[in-house]
Amino acid sequence: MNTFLGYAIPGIPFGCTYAIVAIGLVLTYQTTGVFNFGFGAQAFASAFVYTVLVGRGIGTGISFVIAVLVLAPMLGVALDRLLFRHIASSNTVAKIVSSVGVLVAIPELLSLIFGNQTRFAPPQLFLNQASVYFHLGSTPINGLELETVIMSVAIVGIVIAILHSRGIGLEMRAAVESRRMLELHGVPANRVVGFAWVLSSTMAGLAGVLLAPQYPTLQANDFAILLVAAIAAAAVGSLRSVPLALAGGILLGVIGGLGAGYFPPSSIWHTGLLPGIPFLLLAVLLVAAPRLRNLETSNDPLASSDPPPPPPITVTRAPELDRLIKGGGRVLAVVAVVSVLTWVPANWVFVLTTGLVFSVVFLSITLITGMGGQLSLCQASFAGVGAFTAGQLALHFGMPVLLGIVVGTVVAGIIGAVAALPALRLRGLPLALLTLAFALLADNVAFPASWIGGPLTGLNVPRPQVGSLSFATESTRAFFVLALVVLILCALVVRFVQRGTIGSYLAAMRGSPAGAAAIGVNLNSTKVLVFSLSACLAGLGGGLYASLQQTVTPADFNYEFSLVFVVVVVTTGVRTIEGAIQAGLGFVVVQQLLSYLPGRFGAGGLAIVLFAFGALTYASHPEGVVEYQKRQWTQRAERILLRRAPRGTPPAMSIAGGAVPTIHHSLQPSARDRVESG
Amino acid sequence: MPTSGMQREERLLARLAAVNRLRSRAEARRTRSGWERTETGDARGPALEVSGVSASYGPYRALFDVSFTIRQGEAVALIGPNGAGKSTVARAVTGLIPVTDGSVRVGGQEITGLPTWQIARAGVVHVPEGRAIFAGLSVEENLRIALRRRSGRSRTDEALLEAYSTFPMLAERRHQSAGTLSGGQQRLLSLAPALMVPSTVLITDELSLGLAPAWLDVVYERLAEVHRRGTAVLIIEQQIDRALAIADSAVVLQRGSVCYVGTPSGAASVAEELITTPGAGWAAPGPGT
Amino acid sequence: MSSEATRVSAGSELAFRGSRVQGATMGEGGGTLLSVRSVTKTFDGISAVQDVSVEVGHGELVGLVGPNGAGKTTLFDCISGRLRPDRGHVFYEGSRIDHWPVHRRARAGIARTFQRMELFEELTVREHLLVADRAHRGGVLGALVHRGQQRPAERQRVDAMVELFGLTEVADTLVSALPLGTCRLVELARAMTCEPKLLLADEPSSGLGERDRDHITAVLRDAQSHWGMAMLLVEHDLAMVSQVVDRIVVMHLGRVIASGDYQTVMADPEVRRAYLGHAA
Repeated sequence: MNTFLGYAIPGIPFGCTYAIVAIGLVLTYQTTGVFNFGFGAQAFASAFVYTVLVGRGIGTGISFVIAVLVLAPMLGVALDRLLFRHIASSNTVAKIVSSVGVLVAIPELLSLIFGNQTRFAPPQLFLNQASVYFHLGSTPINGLELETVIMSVAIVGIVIAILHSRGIGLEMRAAVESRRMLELHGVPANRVVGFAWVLSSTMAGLAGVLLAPQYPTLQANDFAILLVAAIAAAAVGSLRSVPLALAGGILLGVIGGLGAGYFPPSSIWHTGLLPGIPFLLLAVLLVAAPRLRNLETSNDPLASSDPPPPPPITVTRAPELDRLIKGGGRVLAVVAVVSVLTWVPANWVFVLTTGLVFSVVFLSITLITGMGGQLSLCQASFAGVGAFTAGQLALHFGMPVLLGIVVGTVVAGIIGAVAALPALRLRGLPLALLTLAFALLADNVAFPASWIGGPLTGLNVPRPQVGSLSFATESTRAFFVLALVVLILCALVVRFVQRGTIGSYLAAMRGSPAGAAAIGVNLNSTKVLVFSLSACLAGLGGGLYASLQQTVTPADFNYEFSLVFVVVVVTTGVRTIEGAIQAGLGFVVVQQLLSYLPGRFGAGGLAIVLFAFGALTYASHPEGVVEYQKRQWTQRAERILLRRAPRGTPPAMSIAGGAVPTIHHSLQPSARDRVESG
Repeated sequence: MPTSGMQREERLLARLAAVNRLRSRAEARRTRSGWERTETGDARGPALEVSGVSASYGPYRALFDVSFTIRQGEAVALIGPNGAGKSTVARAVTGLIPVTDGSVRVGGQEITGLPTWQIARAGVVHVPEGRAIFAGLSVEENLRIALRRRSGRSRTDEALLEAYSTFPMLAERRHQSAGTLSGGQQRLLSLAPALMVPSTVLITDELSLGLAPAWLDVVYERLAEVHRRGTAVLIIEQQIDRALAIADSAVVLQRGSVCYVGTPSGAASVAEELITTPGAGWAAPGPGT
Repeated sequence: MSSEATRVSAGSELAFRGSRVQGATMGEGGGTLLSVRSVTKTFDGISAVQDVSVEVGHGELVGLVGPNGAGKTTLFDCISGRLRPDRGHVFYEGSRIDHWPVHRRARAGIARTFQRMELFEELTVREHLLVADRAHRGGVLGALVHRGQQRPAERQRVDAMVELFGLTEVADTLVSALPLGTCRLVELARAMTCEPKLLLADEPSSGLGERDRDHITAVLRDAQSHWGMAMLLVEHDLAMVSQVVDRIVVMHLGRVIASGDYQTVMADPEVRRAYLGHAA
């Protein structure tokens, strides 16, 4: 019993750290309606500023005030005003992409501003970290542990008091359901939501400053990991209940403590299972708990006062311009390929080849997000599956690496299909969370195993050798051609799917799943198919990447890359094949160009910041901000070159009748309809 | 299926008889509750003036130059076929959709373009159609949020108790989450706060829809009560008989424009004119007639 | 806009007349097609449908009427497979289909339209019919290897539907750009492309002006006499119901309170009390 307690008790304070973040997530979700992936980044921002200030000799008190009570609320106001207020009625994918953009952008931005040297953890706020205050049984309790527990209990009390207060708490919860209804009751809803952002951001800042001393050095990654582990704790409370989120956090901490105690240190359980427990719990909860499945069902009774969505921008070009652009594009492509094969320096050939390989991976996002309409946050993991399969087969079985890549593609596809099975009933936020859990399970459980991810020094993957044709280091240009051919084949496959019957099924499902089922489309098998095909593409890209790089480690495919990939593709255009290729080439070329910049700007962070800001515009430009700009420029060019009136007027108007379009009021789904279908 | 002139005449007469029957019944109820009908005179100022209002959903225009006035303490019925833009009028008044042209005044004060919450504080209570409730909050929380600004913070509990005593059904379910109530109960919950506290203007959109007859009587009695206490009422109804019976005057809307303003019986005959076939968008006479 | 809708599809009534698909009469009077037996469905402790039994014969036209919240749409969802009943069974062509998913029922010949329309906003009218034509014929794997190009037979079927429903002028327009009345027609055409033996029509005239209503009533009648499918029609507009159906079933508060031919049922005092609100 004593041993049991000895293992369990140290787990409690650790669980409380999960709980603090989990409660912050619940608070944000309950009061703003946004599932805020950016919470981790906001916490990191405050911790970072606090650490910097303390490091410059400013007292902890003042630093605390600046970091938590000034900076954090300001960040909240900024996020609300500049971002989330404008996407309140956007779809789930847009909201997730935006908050993922925040998660990715803030830490990179901070290290751009302050430099990215190693920073050691700041001192604690109140108690002395090292001194032991008392013993519980035979377990010593030090200041760090005591402070965490005390603070988390205090936070639970405060958050419950706020959420259940009859004034602002009630109004915040009401605002999440319907701002318009709240306004009809005379409450300024935007101010209420603004206050909610201030509150939850302050909470994020507090969590950051409280939790920073837990880690030896201050790293954004720790906060991001903490965030996703905390999602599991929040999921215990269905993202709604604060006490259950606390319980969930402590449960995770205690399980971790017990596991660390009872599992032999070097066993597969200890190294393999233990780090994955939060994500396993998250996945199980998402699949099994009906309340989590229905997260997205709340609807605004007054949603029908929104104007109908604008018709999509016309993609058609004037035939003359179309010929011009297509012809020019072909010439450019040929020139580019010839240049690469002749005079472009080797390091740029390598960069461009990497870009082509990334494009293959990004096509998988075009398929699942652009065409399937669902967000997957584990595409990098599928790429990893392809890479490691190819590498291990080549290393241990002497299989030619090209064949290994093909096998890796198939394996990734099979895993994708299997992963799709539990995801069948999910869509939107729960599905995104489930795929994130998959990515983290892969990172923590699968990839660290040496029979998958290879030794710590990295898994060596050879370049292909076909007969006398070698793709080895000295002839990167040959690999460029290989990558180009593969990319073209993949693009053709995606285009085949897009234009074929399955593409029209997918378009139907995006428009209305119920309608698609009613005409006989099998939603489940279509989903499995798309997941699997998308995983194949990612796996293929991963295998090529491994062979190109010649050494890969699990860190090359961790969940952060999945997030960054989505952010990048969404910026350049998730709906088109062009978009994926632009994303692949753009991503590496921008990074390479920035590397010519001096010092900290060359670290690659700036590229990610740029794309993250691009992703923040996803809600207003779902076709991708780059694609949007391209269309704008095309229209401008058309006007200038062909001296033609803008053709902005979509056909909608002319058919709706007359010069002034009128709407039939009942076109708005009335609340009465909902009564019937309820 | 064109209706012959003869049949139409008969239907019109029947409808007028129904309106008169209801009117006398409502009259009787008023006398019972000691409520003398306030004299309608031009001496009273306007409570709600809608002049030349056009509005649109995004690029789609929905209202064209709509004008009418409600005097203080007056009850006006806004009727028209399904899709004529009745709810849109209410939404434009309370700023839920933008007014593109024209102006709206409440008690002489210009409210065009103000945010919805300021219009609400200026004394306009709008009960939207359907289940206009916060489904995730409890019954009591719903009432509290609606009553808090309207009756003042200190008197919220008092108003809450009054609501419970008027609608005991809500008291029984005060801690239940509002989303689990039945459609009719939800409708009642969204109506209750508006019927507790008098305001300058009360707009009810499809008041009777989905309500069981027994509750309908209670709701109409409360409506009469807040009306008696000085609230101007705009009654938007698909089922015209009941609305016309308690209205002082009526506005008929068709395809986003006003096509008649005048007496309830005049509106009834205009409405009848609009109906060329039985399926022209007028619902069958509603429950609890 | 309704005038536009009417004009656009003015030809359709004529297009139907005088052509009757072979075998349309085949099933008529030939026994039960659909049998709903004692179905109960409860949401959060409130029963939306309680112990409801309904039978529909081959080619029979049944109206399902009742006040809002009577459970009509819930019953439709139980028949089409969107919801699983808590108790009771649904039989179709003699087999129990309780466990069948929506798409399987659709392929077996149960098509439906929706009260709040479920159209595919990125597709044109023609694409709607094409995707419906393919979906009810082929499986997903077949679709994967199938190129987008239309086969001649497909094109012929789709063109014929477009013409029959008078949608020729708008065939290549995105549905998001069409007026409501035309959208309802598209939804109906999409359902009919699936060659149903049973059509579930959920308030096809809801939100329509009178001319559109008359038009869609005519189209429904013509479609039925053309293809001879059975139909369950939920509709608030009693005039439309009386023009289309053979018999009506009245639901109130989740139960069936009456059924029979239109005149008899509407004379029933209980029905008048529930539906019309007065016994007079």
